[in-house]
Amino acid sequence: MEKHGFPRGVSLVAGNLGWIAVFIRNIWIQRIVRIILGILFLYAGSIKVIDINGFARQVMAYDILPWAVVNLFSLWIVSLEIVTGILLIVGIWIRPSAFIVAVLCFVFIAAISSALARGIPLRCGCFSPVPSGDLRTWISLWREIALFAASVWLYCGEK
Amino acid sequence: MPIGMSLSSAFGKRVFAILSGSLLLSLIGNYFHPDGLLLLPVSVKPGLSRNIPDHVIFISAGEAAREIALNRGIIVDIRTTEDYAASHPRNSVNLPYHEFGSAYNEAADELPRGMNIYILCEGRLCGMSERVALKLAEYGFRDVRVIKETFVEWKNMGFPVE
Repeated sequence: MEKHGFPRGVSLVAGNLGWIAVFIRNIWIQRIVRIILGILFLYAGSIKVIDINGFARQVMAYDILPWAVVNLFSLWIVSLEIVTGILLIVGIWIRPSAFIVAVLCFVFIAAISSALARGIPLRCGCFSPVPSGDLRTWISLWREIALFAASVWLYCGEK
Repeated sequence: MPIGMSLSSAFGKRVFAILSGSLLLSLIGNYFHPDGLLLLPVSVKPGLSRNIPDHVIFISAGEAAREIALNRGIIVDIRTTEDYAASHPRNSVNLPYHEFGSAYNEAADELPRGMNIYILCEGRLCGMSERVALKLAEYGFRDVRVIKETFVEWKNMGFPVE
């Protein structure tokens, strides 16, 4: 026990919280995260544009939206990723872009979680059926959670 | 609103501008994309390009089973030879997707020209059924139908298999 009565571990955490706060508020860290987030979304959107048919089939596979709107929704999502990616990289309209990115990530998290809960196979399964709970799906889920956290942080950090 | 999210605020206007601008951009991009999607498909499977011929039709397993029972056509099962040998729909011909060329040459006589062809696959995502439908359309088959469900769903729905 330290002199002030708190256990040593608590003192260490409390002492380091200040550094964490400084880190989170550091403008250069925010800029780096903003640009990385922008690059990731721009890349994701660009890849989907090349195989827009494949992406629409992926959206269909989640079995959430009616078929009649899947194509339009897929096109809009891809466009949103590219536009918000560019805005984040360039540093224009950061807060609205971060808000939209956070919403997109939230939608993806909800969709993946729903598919995992219902046991829907998210991979083709043409010749080797892969269960929905495969590792790549879980990795996608955690990736989206991390991106969501980053976008919320960016949103809160901007004025 | 404390976080300035109403539409009348600058934040709200910018969010609206990004959303509507992206939508417009997506419609323009889709128009010029060589494999642009059908914008509001009603009975067509999502993910298909505009280039899919009108005479390639997508139907449910139930409709296909009813038409086949009335002797209107046969099923073309595009799964692998091994999967087909294990279990396949009754009244079907196996044309494995990855050996389509050679398989078609051998089985061409079994494919009726004046009747419907119903294509069945295993996966929901790959789009192979649509590609086979296009190929058969090139070979002159006019009445090609793609079954929306997979083989496993066909079997689970109780339709004839052997």
